[in-house]
Order: sequence, then C-alpha cells, then structure tokens
Amino acid sequence: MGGRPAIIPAHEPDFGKQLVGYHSRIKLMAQHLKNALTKPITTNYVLRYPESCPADVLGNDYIEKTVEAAVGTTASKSIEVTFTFLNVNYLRFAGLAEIVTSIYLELRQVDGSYAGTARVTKITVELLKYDVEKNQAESLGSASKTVNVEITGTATANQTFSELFEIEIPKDKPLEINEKTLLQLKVTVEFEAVTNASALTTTIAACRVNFARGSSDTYVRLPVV
Amino acid sequence: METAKIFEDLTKMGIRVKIVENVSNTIQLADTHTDEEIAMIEQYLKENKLDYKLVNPQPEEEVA
Repeated sequence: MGGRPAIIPAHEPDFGKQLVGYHSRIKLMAQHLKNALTKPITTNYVLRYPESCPADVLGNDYIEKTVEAAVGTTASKSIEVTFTFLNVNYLRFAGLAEIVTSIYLELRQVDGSYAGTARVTKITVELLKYDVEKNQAESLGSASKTVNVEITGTATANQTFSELFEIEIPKDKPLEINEKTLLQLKVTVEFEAVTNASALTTTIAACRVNFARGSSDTYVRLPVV
Repeated sequence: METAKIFEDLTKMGIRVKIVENVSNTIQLADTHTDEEIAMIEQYLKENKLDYKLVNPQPEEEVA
C-alpha cells in the first residue's frame, strides 16, 4: 500500500539496431509448382519471395507419404523435399536463419479394437548453397529434432503442428547468392506406423510436409546484411 | 511411447478410449462415461503428472 516503486535495472535501448534487424529479415515461402522451372535448374519445389506470395493454383499444397505396419510390427518411412530459392538478384545473409516446418500427421487406417499409433520421430532441416555451374550443393548447416509426436487410437485422426529450427550463418562468412548460386532448404521427416499384435486391420500412418498456402506454412526467414 | 501407454493404461482401467494424441495433448473417449470414470481418468493423469485434456466426455446419465 503506497510502497516505493520497485527499482528496475536500466536497460540501454537500442532501437536503431532492433529496427534494422527487424526490417532486414526476409521470409521465403516453400511452394510447389505444377510445371517445373527449367532455368537455372530444373525444379518444382521453390522458395518464393516476398511473403505472402500467391501459390501456384495447380501446384500441390503438400508432399505426402504413407507407411503401413504389418500386424505386431512398427514400420518407418521418411519424406525428403528440397526447395530452391530462384533469385536472380544479389543478396547476402548472415546471422540466425529461422526455419519453420509445418507437418501433418494422420492415423489413416487402424484396427477398431486394438489401438495403433502414427508417429513423427524426427525432423531435419538443412540449408544448402547450390552452385549452378558446378551442379553441386554445399551444406551451410543443419538442425535436427527428435520430436516424438504421436496419435494413438482405434479411430482415424489427424493433427498439424509446426517446428522451429535455427541455423547460424556466421557473420564473418555471409551467404552470398546470385544468379549462379542458389539457396536451398532440404526438409526430411521420419515417421512410423505401429500395429498391435492382436489387430486384424493394419495401421497406416500418413505424413505431409505442408507448403506455403493458407495458415500452415513451411518457410525460411533470413537476416539480410 | 507415451500415448500408447496412456491408451493401454486407461483401457486396463475399463475406460473406452478412442484417441490419445500429444500434439494438442488430448484424450478422446470412445463413448459416454460416468462421473466416476471421468474422475478415475483425472486421478490417473494427476498421479502420472500428465497434462492432457479430455474431449467431450459425456456423462452417462445425459444419454437418452
């Protein structure tokens, strides 16, 4: 009641740096094109800029794979997709790259009496620098997470979730991209299906990497220097 | 293995479970349950320090 206000240690504001940092980040949206581009490399999976860019109406909203486990077993599979940023301008990036993956997991088929499980076990993201002249990609860094996201049950169900990854691009070695050097994002998702030993129906797990369309987006956010 | 274990444990307790998932940490029951059964589930979650919510557990007496 009417006591002295708490003394808060002074924190030197640095609006200049914060403002520069905020405005210099660009967000590259992972998308699928129905018709592949052929130059400078052939690809259907692209990173597009700026946010939010229109998606290819004929392109897919996601890449999906399924796995079926025989009775009494666990079966696993992985999805791997590489997106390429087809930028022709000169850009330099350094600092913390933020990568967000949007993943969909579905218990698509399961026994009605003995529970089955659909599970995402691991997500890995990797940033690559692709040299158009050498046709080679060099890793800029990768990040991995053991996630153990599961749906167990005797009825079909699905969930969508996002995971954040951070990869440091050294400030003394900024990533430089131009018409001959392309930035790529590789996403790998490992998932499983489990069928109970007493089940009459096998378990099928479906997993998707969602592209940038709507509210579930996979994207890269990079600090421009 | 968490969701499979919860499913198994609850089934052993006589609870009819439909789905257990750890994305939004939800347990979906298969059909109606008595207040006593719901209290049993809540006790199980508390004892095992599990942060799951029950989806639409319908009290048995409300069913026509």
